[in-house]
Amino acid sequence: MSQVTVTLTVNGQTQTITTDAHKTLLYLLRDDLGLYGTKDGCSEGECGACTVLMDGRPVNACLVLAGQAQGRTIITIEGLAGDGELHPLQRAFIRSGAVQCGFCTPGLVLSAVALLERQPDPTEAQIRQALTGNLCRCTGYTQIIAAIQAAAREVDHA
Amino acid sequence: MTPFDFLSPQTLAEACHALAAAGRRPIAGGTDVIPQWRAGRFQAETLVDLSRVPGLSDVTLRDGEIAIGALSTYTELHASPVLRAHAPLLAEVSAMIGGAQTQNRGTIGGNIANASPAGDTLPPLLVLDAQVDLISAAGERSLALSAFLRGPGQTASEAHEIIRRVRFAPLPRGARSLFLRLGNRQGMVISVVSAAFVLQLDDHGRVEEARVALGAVAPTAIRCAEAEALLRGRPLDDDLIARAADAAVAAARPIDDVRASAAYRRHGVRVLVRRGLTQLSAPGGGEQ
Repeated sequence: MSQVTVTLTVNGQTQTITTDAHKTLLYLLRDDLGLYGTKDGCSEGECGACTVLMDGRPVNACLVLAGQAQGRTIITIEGLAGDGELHPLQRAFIRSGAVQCGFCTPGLVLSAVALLERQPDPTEAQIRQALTGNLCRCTGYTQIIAAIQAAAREVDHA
Repeated sequence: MTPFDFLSPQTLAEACHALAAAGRRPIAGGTDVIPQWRAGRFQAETLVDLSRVPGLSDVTLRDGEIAIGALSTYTELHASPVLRAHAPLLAEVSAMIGGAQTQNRGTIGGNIANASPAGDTLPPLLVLDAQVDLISAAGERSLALSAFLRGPGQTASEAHEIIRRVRFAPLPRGARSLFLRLGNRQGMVISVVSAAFVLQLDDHGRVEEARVALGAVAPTAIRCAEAEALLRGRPLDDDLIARAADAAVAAARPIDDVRASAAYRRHGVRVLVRRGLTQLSAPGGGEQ
């Protein structure tokens, strides 16, 4: 089977990986790097459970080929917490009860991180728009939106 | 899901050369190619990744013509000052396609190449009279988007050809334009019916120029020549709008599918065309 060799930076660490040419970034992260926080929901770019940040922008890792990640900078959910301290958005999700089964949570948190980088004080409409590509089937969006609003306030006042 | 090989050309010439061999197909953002490959509807021995090819993602206005590099993402189109000023409906539609993840990866060249009857950039590009520029190891050619789109997933391009850019004239000052979509919900939706409009009205509310295109109601996105002819030269009042909507319904050839029935789509065409023209008839409606 054909292989590709890819050098990419994941959560601050630059690594070189040789893997199957038809593998997606999602399974490079999960199988080759053991980063299981990035979830495989629909495998077709509809649900956003595999959302990661690529060069700072949210993308569906299930639709990026391993070879296309060459030279890119990737942030996964594992890359958010530093020194045992959760990211403000992770804390806000917990406090607001925005996590039930948790399957959609990593993708939602990363979409929210990208949103707050661009718009530190988003309106509810902007939050809803930013989450269009992230489906939650159990928690409900109300708490998720509340969590993002709480995190925006916290970061704003920090 | 048969495995494929992967090539990553670094120049346009390399990309053309790579695609000249049999069994090779291009990939850019992957938002259509990967799901189709997973579903067994996309075959290739080797995928040729266009993402590293320089010079394919600029949006420029030069010599009275807008040129959009095929690799421009929806995020880039939405942010483009050139499009916001001179083709605002294309900037607007780009924020309606999928979610942020899709908009960050999906490209205008991909939307054209995929040739879905429901591709949301296609009605706007049709009312902009867009030309598609193709390049291959054999040379370059250009054809109207209306001639490029042949059927669902079918285009006039050969397997070895790359969509390089799409070109059109900027909308004249005072032109009114709009894109409307009917879907089963607001976000992450494949259009059930879509419609794009360009109108120019004179000082007395008479239609000087009219272009109307529809998506998801025929084997390809289509222009509505009869509706346009009806509109031109007449005052844009409720009666004319109703007749133009009738003409658009007559131009549609919808099918029943998982998203909607043909009858619902026909009704949707009438509603969207009436809604769109009514919005554009209001003072300053959709004006640049």
